[in-house]
Amino acid sequence: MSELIAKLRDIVGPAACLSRPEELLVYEADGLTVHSARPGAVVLPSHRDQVVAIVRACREAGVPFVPRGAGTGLSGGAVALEDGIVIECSRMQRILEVSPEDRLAVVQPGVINAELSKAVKHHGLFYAPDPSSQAACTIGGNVAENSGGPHTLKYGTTTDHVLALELVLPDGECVRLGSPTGVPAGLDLVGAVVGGEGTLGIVTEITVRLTPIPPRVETLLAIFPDVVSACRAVGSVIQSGLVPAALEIVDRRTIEAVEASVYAAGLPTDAGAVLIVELDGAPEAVAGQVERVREHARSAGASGVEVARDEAERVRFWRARKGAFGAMGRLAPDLYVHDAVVPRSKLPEVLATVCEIGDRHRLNLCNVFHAGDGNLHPNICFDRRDADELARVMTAGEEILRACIEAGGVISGEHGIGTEKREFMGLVYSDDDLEAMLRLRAAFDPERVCNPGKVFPSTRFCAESNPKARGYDRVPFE
Amino acid sequence: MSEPSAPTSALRPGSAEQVSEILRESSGLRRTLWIRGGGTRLGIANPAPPPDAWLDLRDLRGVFELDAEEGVAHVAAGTSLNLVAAEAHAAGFELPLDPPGPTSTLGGCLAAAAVGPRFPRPRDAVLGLGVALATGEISHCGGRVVKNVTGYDVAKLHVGGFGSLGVIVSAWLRLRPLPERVLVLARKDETLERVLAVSRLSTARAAAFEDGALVLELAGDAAAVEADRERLPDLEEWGDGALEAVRSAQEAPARVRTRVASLPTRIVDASVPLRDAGARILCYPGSGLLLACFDREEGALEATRQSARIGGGPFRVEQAPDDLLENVDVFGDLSEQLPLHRALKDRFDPARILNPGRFVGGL
Repeated sequence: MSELIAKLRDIVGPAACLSRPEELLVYEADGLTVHSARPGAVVLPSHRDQVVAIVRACREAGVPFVPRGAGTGLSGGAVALEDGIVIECSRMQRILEVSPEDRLAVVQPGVINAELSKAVKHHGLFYAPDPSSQAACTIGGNVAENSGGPHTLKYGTTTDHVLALELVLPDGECVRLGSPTGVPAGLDLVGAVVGGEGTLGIVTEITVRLTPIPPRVETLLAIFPDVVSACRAVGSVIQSGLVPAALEIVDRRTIEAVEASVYAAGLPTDAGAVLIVELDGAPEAVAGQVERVREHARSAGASGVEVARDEAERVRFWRARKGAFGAMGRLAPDLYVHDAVVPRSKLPEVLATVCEIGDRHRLNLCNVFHAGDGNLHPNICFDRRDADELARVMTAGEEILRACIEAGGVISGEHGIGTEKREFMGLVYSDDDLEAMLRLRAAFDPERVCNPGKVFPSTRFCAESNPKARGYDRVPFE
Repeated sequence: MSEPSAPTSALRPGSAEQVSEILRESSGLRRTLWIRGGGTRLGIANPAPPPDAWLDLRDLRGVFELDAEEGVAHVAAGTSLNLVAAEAHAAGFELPLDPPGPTSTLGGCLAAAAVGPRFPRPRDAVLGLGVALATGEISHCGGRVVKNVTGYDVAKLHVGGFGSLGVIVSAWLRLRPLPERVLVLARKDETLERVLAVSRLSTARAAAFEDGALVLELAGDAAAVEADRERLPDLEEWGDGALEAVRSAQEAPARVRTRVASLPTRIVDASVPLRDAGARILCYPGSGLLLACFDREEGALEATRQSARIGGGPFRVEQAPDDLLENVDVFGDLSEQLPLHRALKDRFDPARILNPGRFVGGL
């Protein structure tokens, strides 16, 4: 390892290569704090050629490597197992090109999501994927996780906005995939790499689609006596043919947490749930849609529907949603943000089950979720130093995933599998399904040196498919 | 290339399990297969020796489920696209795929990533796929929910993969609510520059430009469509026939037919070499596609290449006599990406039984 670290120092300079234990501490986990492992070293390349040299050096040394953006991921994807090397792309943060007429931008992977939208705002454009962490997360990380956000209901996830990629393959070769036109030549390799969780190579340049800022945005906040009626309103809005930009539900427990925090949005704490609806588009269309949504909400049982009168009020409505995670930080030292998707019509029954699971395990569980997509985020506040509570959190998590699968859903809508859910992949996919994914993996990374130990369940993966029998994927994380 | 001559035999499985059996057996025997649905995109292929048999998927029919509450449908690959569209329509939805022809099947349309005037990316309609792998396994990717990052997005490899990595046997599709209002407008004597601007109106669902004539379809919220209509006082209202005429133009017979993808700002310049080489050009400005029909072979491929260089996107040869294709990959110049294509083919179809020789780089 010391030989490799010396080589890495030569490549990026001593200041951009971290190997002392206190320097590595922050890299032991990403947003999923219950899974941690200390990397062998962390390198911070400034440009593609350094990434190529780092990858080659790691391969020669037989040491795995892991790309990392801002480390805001929630599934353990950016954690290096087995003394692997973390390649942090935060110094590759230049917006290389903006072409307003072609509505595209070329960025390095370390560009922060929200910064891109700020940089192109004066062209009347924005970058649509908006994960909750958008003020900190990087576009490279978004590509790895195929990140979503509240507005994916109308605008789609990261994969819908990536046109082309420059990718350093796990053997050190650099290839350009896709085309700025969005039309691939041959196979849609960009589509395959987005959401690859950093296991198929290291993205060093991204061409993204920019979207015109909608000329009019209206935000509504509807108060419901319970979550079931809020879900009913969501179903009725969507079945009517409306496609809002966002349809978000915040449950009673979350409202209580938010209202007791600095994020207080003035919500009635006796409400069972609030639904935030955002409509955007042509002014002629939006005005009528607001009234239609109001009617759907009332028919479903809303006790009140407010329409934001100005930007300040709009921000206040969203605070109820976006401040949820911060508010929960007051309740306990740790927060486990779950992520699963169910068919929208199954939301009421699945939510009831999720709350029952939380109660049965005596956990502080609240729900904020992308109701329009059926994308649940049960959040559990806990203290990981309490071994008994941690065990209950993990058991409840598995039960929640099983309930979602039972309802015809899947175990991740936007956070990815990482280390967190790899052992549950077999609950969703058969061996034959996983076999196809393994073939894709093998075409890009036959020796499995790029972010090993992620996505695939450990046992079968090692027994049948690891050509070097290095056992990367057998080693449990701490 | 021209449509291949009669095959030695045709296998017509009636279920995914039968497809699986055929593929398992074929891999063992190294029996080569050409896969077909409705046959509208069979011509897009590199010249290759004829197969041992056809794998004809048209008996793999059926809309297994259409969930009107969720707006999703699960459909067998050999089902006629027109049938799926009709069932979706009856339930209040539209199928966001452009059928290349009346015989088109779902699987064929997805495998060829076939596009028309309305929907530029067939992958957007796909939530999940059932795929029979060359080695016989039936694998599923994605699912029925509208948001999903559970494992790799393998479906992206099969949409536009021309059956080279596996045989699509079924798909979960995301349907769209029927638009409240649809309006087809047309005008002669347009310029491509103005057409580009018009195609960016918020309700423009389809825009096609050929020989100075624009056909524009507005669709969506009634008030928004009316507002866009008012912005275009000089366009005449037409019926659906105008869009059907565009579809016919797209499929019109030609000696050589090519497709170029271009950036919006370069599409005018990218059309010049094609026009200079005598092509009739159908342009879909919203998706940046130039579809060129040549009545003579001379200069057609050179012009196409030059057009693609200007446009900044890839080209594809959709129809040409075999002798014209000696030094050309019909899927364009993609040498840099070829090793990855080869590695994927090695893993997914090691016995080289699926459409061998016909795909990118003769894979």
